[in-house]
Amino acid sequence: MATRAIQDPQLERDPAALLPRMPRLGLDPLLTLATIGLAVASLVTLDGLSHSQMVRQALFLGVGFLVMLVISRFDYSRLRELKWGLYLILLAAILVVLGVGHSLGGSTRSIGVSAFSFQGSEVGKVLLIVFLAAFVVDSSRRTSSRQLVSRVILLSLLPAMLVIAEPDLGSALVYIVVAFAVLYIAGVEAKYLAAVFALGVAALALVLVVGPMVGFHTVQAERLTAFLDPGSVPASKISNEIYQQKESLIAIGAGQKFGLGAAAAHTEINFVPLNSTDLIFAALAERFGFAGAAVVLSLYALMVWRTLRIVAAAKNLFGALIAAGVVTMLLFQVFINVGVAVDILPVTGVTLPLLSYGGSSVLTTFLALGLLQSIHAQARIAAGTKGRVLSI
Amino acid sequence: VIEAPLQRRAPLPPQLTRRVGVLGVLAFVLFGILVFRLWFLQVLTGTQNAAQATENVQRDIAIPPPRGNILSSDGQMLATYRNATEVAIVGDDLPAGTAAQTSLYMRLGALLGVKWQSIRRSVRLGIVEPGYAPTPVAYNVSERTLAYLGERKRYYPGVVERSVPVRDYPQGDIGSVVLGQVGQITGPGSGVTSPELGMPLYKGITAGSTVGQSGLEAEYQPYLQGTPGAEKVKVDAAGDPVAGQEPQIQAPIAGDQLVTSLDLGLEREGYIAIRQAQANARTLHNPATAAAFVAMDPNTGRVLGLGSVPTYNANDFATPISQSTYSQIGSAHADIDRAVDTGYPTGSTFKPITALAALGAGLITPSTLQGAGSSFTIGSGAQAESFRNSGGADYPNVDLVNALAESVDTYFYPLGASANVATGDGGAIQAEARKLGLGGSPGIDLPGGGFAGIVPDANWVVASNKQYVAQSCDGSRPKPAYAHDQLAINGCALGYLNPPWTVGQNIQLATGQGFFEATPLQMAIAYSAIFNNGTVWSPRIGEEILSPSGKVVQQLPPPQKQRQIYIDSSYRAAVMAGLHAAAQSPGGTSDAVFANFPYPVYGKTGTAQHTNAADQSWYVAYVPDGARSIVVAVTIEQGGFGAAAAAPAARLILSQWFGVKKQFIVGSSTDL
Repeated sequence: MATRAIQDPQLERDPAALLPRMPRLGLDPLLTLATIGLAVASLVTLDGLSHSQMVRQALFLGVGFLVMLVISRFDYSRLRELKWGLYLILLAAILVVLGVGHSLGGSTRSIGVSAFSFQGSEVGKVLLIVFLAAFVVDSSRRTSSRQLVSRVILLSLLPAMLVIAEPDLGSALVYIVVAFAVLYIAGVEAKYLAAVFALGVAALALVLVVGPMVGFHTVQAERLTAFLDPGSVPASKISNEIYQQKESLIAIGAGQKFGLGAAAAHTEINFVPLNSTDLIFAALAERFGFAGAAVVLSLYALMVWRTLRIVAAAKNLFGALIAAGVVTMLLFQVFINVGVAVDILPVTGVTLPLLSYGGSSVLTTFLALGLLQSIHAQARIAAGTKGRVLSI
Repeated sequence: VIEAPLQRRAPLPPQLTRRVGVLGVLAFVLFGILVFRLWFLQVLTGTQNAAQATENVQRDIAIPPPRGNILSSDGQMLATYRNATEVAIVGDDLPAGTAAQTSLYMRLGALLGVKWQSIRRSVRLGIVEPGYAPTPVAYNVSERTLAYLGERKRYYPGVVERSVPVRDYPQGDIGSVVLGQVGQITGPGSGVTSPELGMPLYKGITAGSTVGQSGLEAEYQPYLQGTPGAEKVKVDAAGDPVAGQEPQIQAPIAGDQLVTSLDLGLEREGYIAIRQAQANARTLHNPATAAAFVAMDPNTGRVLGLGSVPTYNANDFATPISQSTYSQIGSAHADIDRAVDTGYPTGSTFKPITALAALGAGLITPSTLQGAGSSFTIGSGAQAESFRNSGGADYPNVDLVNALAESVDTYFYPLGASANVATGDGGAIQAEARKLGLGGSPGIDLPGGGFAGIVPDANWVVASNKQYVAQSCDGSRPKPAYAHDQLAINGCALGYLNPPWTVGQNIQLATGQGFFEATPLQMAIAYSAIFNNGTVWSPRIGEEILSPSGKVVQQLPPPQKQRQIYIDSSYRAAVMAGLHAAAQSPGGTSDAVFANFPYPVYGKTGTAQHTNAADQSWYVAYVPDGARSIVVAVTIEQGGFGAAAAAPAARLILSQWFGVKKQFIVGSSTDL
């Protein structure tokens, strides 16, 4: 391909060149199965909470699935050339939300676009993954590891700082973790990664501990305090989120082995006001018990396993890095979201991929899944042209 | 299936496989943590959490106890309770978020005819911590409104309606300042400077409860309060009672009853009397802005009647008070008990005290003749200062009895002059006044124990100036020195400080004028001490505590003596003769009022002059009748002459006590 591109640059800009070169493209069946399974789990759980939300979520999931199918048919490799454009779109999306966004639950995270409000920071996750992967691929042979690490970290800190200002600590953490994962998979030496890790811990401490001391945004610090020392927060100061975490724990416990089914009322009526978004796992676990929660976690594990395979089998470093970023994003969001619901982590405000109600989150996840399917498909094509067959 | 080889084109890093493996292990560990935690929560401790979830919807709603009755000495109800339908807010069930709560308050306020801001205020006052009682929002809500609310429970989250005991004062405004007010206990979130929640008086009371906040309601709060019950209701997540589950009721325990020494008839007549005196004073173009009376038994120290106007209907505070009523009461100072907590100059009612002081100091004997002329002058030339008789009356020399009977100022002015001590805490007059309980709180069983009043002397002038400077000078201007010769410097309080003590001040004091201030209660105590031969009482209203069923639980301590003083019998006899002549012999200042009263009356008028306002009218009287002996003190603020306003009121009160035909007889004496 590279040879052809040099020979005929126009060809790459021809939309026809982006079309698949094989008439039949297989999706990764197990990844697709996990996707459909999680989508069904989302709808079944939401139906117990709010029928109207379930209907809208079905629409989001359907549109998302189509988006995934479409993306999977394009060769992701072309996105490399658009990396700075993607980065600008990422910054613009966050800035527009910051500038004109309306406040939802105390944070400015979305802008109203007619019927459906759009969260720039959600879609930004995928944009950042693609950008970082492209940046690393393009720079890896020209720069030293030290320079590469510092540039990647700076380039992801910029959008991270912007979304912290919204304030959306959850998305910011995703940005940082994703950058870390891309560098790790790109093969950067461990000592640099250790330095970045130390820097990250220090930055987090700055935001959570030093920030409140100098009067900077105390939402996160309050959440942390409430998590570490629940008794220290007076009843009147307990925020909705912290209250919800406690209620979530009760609801999950009440679910027991097989769930309360239709009798699950704790999460249904306003005990957990954000139950359909950040705390949908509590609703799921109350309704379907340990069994249901375990099935859903297994579907996520399946998704992660298939994605790791895609990382390993990608036809080029760009694909491997995108897949690595996506798998890290998925794993991180699942662990943080469920960790909050089961009270082993402080409230952070991260959605549960595919399960949480909301168009932005669903669309973002399907964008990522579409890229994964594309990487998988392209790997099969590449293997096929070499006369090799990829197993599933 | 053929395994895909991991052979890749450059630049795939060589360690990719290993690193992907590490990522896989990390994912495995993270999922493991989540699954283990879920296993722990749902399978190992699932039943406990399920129990906790049930507990979470078991709700205890406090049931307020009926407050104990307050009874008059003859067993009539001064305060009791009635059952009223209450619409209240359970804070636990309020919707989250200010906007949702405001919307609820607005809708509820429109429905109940209550300002939504006052609902918000009540909720803020009541909700301090979890476990509080529901906060009352409105009482006496119509059946129709209740039905409307009942059908739309889900649109009014946190709103409950129920029947609760509410304080009821059958006598309306009679005695309201003595009985005091009840109201929702104030907590730290309510914005008041000293919240009641947590005070020793309110030990064990939860936020949202109704408690006594002033008067006898506060003084005997621990007896009257009772113990709240609880309604233990199982509610589902929507806050509706779970079907088929009867709520468990733990009944409240009513508060104990307080029996007072107040005589309801006397109490009622007291209010009628001072109001009639006010009305009459107004026909004489005196504003008569306020009035107060005290009746006590001089032999036991028990208070028989006590009242103050303007006042308020005690029932106004029994349910949440409307803002307009509240501001009306506030602007008229109608919640002040002027009989106990307000000091006034007493005019000539002070003269018996001056007389006792002068007799004791040897300045006069009962037969000393003095006071001729129309004025008394001190100093000479430009320094001369003249003190005139009221109306410029010209008297011959008189003895003590006639001096009291006709209230001859020129008899008492020289006593003030000769008894003056220019420094320290004054001379014989101040000492005598203090012995009789003036200038110190009487320690009655009402919150605060009663105003101490002022017995002025050189020390007091300095102290009050210091206090004025401390309160008024904020540091932006230099503080003046306290010594009076330095007052010429520019000082922030200059012009408002009292002049240094002079003999003129002591002459004023001898006739109950100047800086001197006493409450009607203090004057009643002082006169009682003269009549009962030296017992200065610390009077009491509460007599005993009864259980709700009427059994005696506790005898409250009887009135204690502030002190027992020695009064020479010949001095006492002279003063008594003078007071009797004043009330019931021709020429006496109140003879016109009491001449035909069928009991012996020992009484003194008083008319204290205010700057730029009508005179303060006073009457203090003693009527001996064995166990039914009584002392009555009446004062009418800006009511005019003592004989014209206070004395007729005192006669009405005494008529009630002795069953004499009630006549409002106005005296015309212009003696002070």
